[in-house]
Amino acid sequence: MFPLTRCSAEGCPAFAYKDTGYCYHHNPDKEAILSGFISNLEKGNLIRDISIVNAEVRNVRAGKGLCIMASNFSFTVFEDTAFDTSSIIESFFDYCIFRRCTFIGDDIRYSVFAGSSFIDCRINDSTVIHNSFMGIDANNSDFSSNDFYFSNFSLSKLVDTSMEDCNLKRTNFRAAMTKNVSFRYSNPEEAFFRKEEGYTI
Amino acid sequence: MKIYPHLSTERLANVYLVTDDEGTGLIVDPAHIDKEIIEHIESCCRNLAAVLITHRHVTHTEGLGTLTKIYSVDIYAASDEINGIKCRRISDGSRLRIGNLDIEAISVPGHSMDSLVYRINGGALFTGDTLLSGSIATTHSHIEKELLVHSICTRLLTLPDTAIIYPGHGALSKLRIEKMFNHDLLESAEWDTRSLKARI
Repeated sequence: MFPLTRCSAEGCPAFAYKDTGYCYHHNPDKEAILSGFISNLEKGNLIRDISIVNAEVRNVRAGKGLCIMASNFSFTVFEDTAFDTSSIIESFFDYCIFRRCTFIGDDIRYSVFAGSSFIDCRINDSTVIHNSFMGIDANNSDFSSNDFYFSNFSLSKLVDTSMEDCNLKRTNFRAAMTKNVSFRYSNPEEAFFRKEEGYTI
Repeated sequence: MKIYPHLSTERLANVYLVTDDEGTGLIVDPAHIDKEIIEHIESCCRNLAAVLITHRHVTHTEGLGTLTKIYSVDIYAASDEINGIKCRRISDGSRLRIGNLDIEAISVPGHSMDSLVYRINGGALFTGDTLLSGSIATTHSHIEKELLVHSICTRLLTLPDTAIIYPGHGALSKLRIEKMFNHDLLESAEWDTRSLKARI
């Protein structure tokens, strides 16, 4: 788990990066932290227990077998980044911007993408169970051939996005807005679309 | 601190194993103890010291019997016994220290009158059924729902936005996310009044 201690800089509400006492932005080694993170992405190393908030990551291809665990990347911008054949477990990507990113053949569990924007992105052939996509904005993206079991898309806005051949059992689309979204070969009848279809216990 | 979430497929409930850096650990809501969670405990935890119960519904306590047969643990809950097993009673404001984990119990009634939320090391909230990702717990009546919303607004939403929510069911979340996207809270009258007040 990334440290739940606050940054030591006055008035900064962000979590500290590892045990340095300062968040990514107030850390004197800010550049080194980001380049170390990108290097670990490219090498496909285990990235664990870190918090990098509001960073910018561009033109990175994650190495095979990358595993991101218990980390926090809220408000980060990812452009032209490929997270293919990666594992993303218990990590936070809330309020991020993903532009032209790919998640192909991934294993994504217990993770949070709430409030993020997905523009021209691809999530394909992946296990994406038990995640939060609440309030996401997906535009011109391809979310086909995934297992979205028990994931939550409530209050999301999905436009020109394909969700074909997906397992949508117990997937929550409560109050989601869809426009030109294809569910062909998927099982939307097993998903929850209206409030009346009890989702909570 | 390390937190290992585990989805119990029997009850579709989350079981959490929380350990400190020295391997002392605790379980939050032993919904159903299966081989996978036992393997987690054995590989990540040197000393399983305690079990925290958010509320006494069987969905979150069914595995208590199995767990107490294997491990010698102290069980903390808002009642003296659960499923015939003796517990150490705690209440709102109780503080515990288990290994290097600082735990604070926060009473949030509504779903059940004994509902507790555990705040561990200041930033991780184990909410049980009280506050879930995108919704709140079901209640038996409108009065209980009002009580639940009021409890959430006054006891939980006053905590820092970055607090992480580990709910009893469904995906993880943060308080900031729930303030923006929790459909049940957004629909509630109290939420309307509070956000209106905040805007004024």
